[in-house]
Amino acid sequence: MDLNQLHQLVASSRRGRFWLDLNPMTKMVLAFCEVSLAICMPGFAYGFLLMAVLMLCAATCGLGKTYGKIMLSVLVIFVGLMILARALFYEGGGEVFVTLGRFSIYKGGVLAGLRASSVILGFSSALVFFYASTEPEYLMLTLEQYRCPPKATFVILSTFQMIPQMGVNAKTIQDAQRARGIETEGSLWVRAKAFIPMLMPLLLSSFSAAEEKSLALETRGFNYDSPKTRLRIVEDSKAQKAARIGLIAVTAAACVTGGYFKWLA
Amino acid sequence: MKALELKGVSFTYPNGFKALGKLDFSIAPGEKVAVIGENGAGKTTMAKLTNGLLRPGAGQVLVNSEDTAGKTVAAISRHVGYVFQNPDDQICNQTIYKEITYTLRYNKSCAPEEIDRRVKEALALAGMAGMEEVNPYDLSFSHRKFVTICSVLLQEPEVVLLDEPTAGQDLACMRRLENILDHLQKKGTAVLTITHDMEFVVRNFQRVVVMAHGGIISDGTPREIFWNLDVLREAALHQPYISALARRIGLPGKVLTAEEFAAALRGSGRTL
Amino acid sequence: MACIELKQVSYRYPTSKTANLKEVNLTVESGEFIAVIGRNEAGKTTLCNVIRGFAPHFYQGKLSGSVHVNGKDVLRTEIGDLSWDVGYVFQNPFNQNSGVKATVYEEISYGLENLGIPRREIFDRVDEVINLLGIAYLADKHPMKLSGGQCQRVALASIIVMEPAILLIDEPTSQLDPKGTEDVFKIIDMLKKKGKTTILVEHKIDRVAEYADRVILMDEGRIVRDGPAAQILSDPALLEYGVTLPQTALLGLRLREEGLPLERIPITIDQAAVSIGALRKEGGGI
Repeated sequence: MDLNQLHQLVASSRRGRFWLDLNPMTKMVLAFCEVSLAICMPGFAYGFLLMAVLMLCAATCGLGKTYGKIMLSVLVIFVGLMILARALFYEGGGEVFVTLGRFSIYKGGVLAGLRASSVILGFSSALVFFYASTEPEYLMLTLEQYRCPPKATFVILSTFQMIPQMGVNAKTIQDAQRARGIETEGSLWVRAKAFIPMLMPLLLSSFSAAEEKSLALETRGFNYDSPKTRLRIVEDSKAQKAARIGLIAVTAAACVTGGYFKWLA
Repeated sequence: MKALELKGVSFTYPNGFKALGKLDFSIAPGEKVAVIGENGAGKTTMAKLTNGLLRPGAGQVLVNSEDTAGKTVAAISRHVGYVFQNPDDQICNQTIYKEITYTLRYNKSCAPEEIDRRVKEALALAGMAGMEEVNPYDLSFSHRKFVTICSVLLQEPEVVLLDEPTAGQDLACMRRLENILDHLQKKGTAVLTITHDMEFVVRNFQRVVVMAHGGIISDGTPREIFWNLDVLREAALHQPYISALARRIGLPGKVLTAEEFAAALRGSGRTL
Repeated sequence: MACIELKQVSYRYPTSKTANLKEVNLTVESGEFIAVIGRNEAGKTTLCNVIRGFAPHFYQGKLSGSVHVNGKDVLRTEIGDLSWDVGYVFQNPFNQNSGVKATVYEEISYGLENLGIPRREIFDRVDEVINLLGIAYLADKHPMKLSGGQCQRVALASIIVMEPAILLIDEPTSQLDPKGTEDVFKIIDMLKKKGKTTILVEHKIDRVAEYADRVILMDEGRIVRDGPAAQILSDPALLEYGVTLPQTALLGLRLREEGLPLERIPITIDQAAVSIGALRKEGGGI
């Protein structure tokens, strides 16, 4: 990679796909609106529809697999369980939907389950899509533009990098402990016993590394009191700014209306 | 009987990298072997195969003539003690005593009086006598390295493997380490050491194994190895300083130490 | 005016029972390349901590005496402000990553971002440093995916780019393999040629001999020797302080004992090749 390509790589947030290039604040507002609607919309179509729409959006920017995998788990585990639970333990009686052996599944129960699922799906689709389509670094840079203190964004960002790193460290520690005679293969009890010798070095070395890392940050001017420059510019536009305001206004109206109908029903 | 044997061992990492190809190696009880070679040559891979952290794709690993296949790493560790490069990956107790006796107490494999005896012996060797109640993290990195060495000493395994034990050590620590290696050899333990320090090798080892490109390219005495320039070139290694100097000024013979250098200088016509 | 000036500095860490630095006096002029040697816990890192102001600002603890660095009184200067004056490279290559940047290029620019340097200038300076240090091929890699030697070179680049007046480099190669060590010393060589005021703490005494003009030996918190490298590194007394001499110096002393008329004890292979080799050719015996 030559210098110009390098500059391009580090200076802009543009990746060439619509959803990836949207300003993180826009995506955050969108997610917030989607979640609000999930709570206020009557019926049960909203959550499922939103999930499908966002799936399409994810597919257009190469995030189909990531988004799809997580939503599948949510669908099967949370939604499936929710519908089952509501259907089985429905107290309202009324029209029977289907009979399974001794159990009667009432239509009311299934509907209740679907409605609750819609809320869950609305929440999770919105948040998962936001998470998948937003680079943490770009989000932090945007927050800094809205005057979030750089030290706070640093803490959040470094946690993102730290977690996979801890996973790597954990494997090394596991190898070292096995090599000194701590049995980690075998029964559940054996593995449980090995938990402490796995955890302790991870914690202890994290603490001692923390001091070194603080000093290293110090040498990079972390505590120097002055406005920070940022190499990378996260793009925004007048259109997006207007869209954010518009979105909030429309969502507020829709929520009030929908909430009214929900309250009536 | 060999303490450790690798027969036709090969290993490929999951990402496809062929780290070792048909390796044969053995070490007898009471033998000290230095393993040298640049990073990526396969030294660490070979080391991890000896104690079961990695399992060979082909071939056998025999410890005390028993195949390690089917045995857990922890079980093998009673016979092969591996001292890792980073002590902080292992230390999980708040006192040195608890730390070095951890495995023995964890596995309940030793009587308390015997444990105490071993502790005193190991700490004396490591220059930490009387420091049983000290917290390892209150000590320097160099001390913590000795703590992990003590943990291995306490197990009294037949084979001890040290991975870069000299990194970051000062003169006194180096001498203590060399003492420990001698002590192990006298006890009949087979000692395998991965190192980059050529002078350390010259001072302490009679057998050197050179690895490059996933195999052993040479196995001999320090004199044979450090004066075989083709092997050194292939393994991307340098001669020890004294040898390099001797070669540079054209001294005859295969000089390794200052004594030999002086003798060679004397012998080559100079009366000293 | 001297670049670094320590006068009667004594310091004790809060958790330490005895003083870690005792009445240290040190003057360093701009452009000097100094090596600090000594056994473990002799006070070498503490000395660096004092110069950078980590002691007492970060570690707390008691410091007496005066410390002036690049014209500033360290005891009265904010720890953050000293980032302009003193750069510090540590022993552990992996703990020097900021942890918030996804490419080496941005990692190197992080210090400049924190100092508020204008964007255009950051690009220019980072470009220059990566070319100077020959790490352009690493620029788009993730900092967490580098080897020890690569990490250490990036750490050096990240500090050099900030253009501090003084560079403190604390045992940069102790956890590196020979290739990594070689790469780091190439950079150190470059720093020396550029006349950067550098203090290098190192155990690899043969390397120290190749680069240092001036050597300081520390023991138990004091500076016990301070002089030209050729003089300090050929003094057998070093062994009593727990420090080994360069291999060629040990050889030279040995040969002199046996009667070889060596005028000066060589401390590098080049010097030895010249002086011992010359004597051999001349036929100078006893």
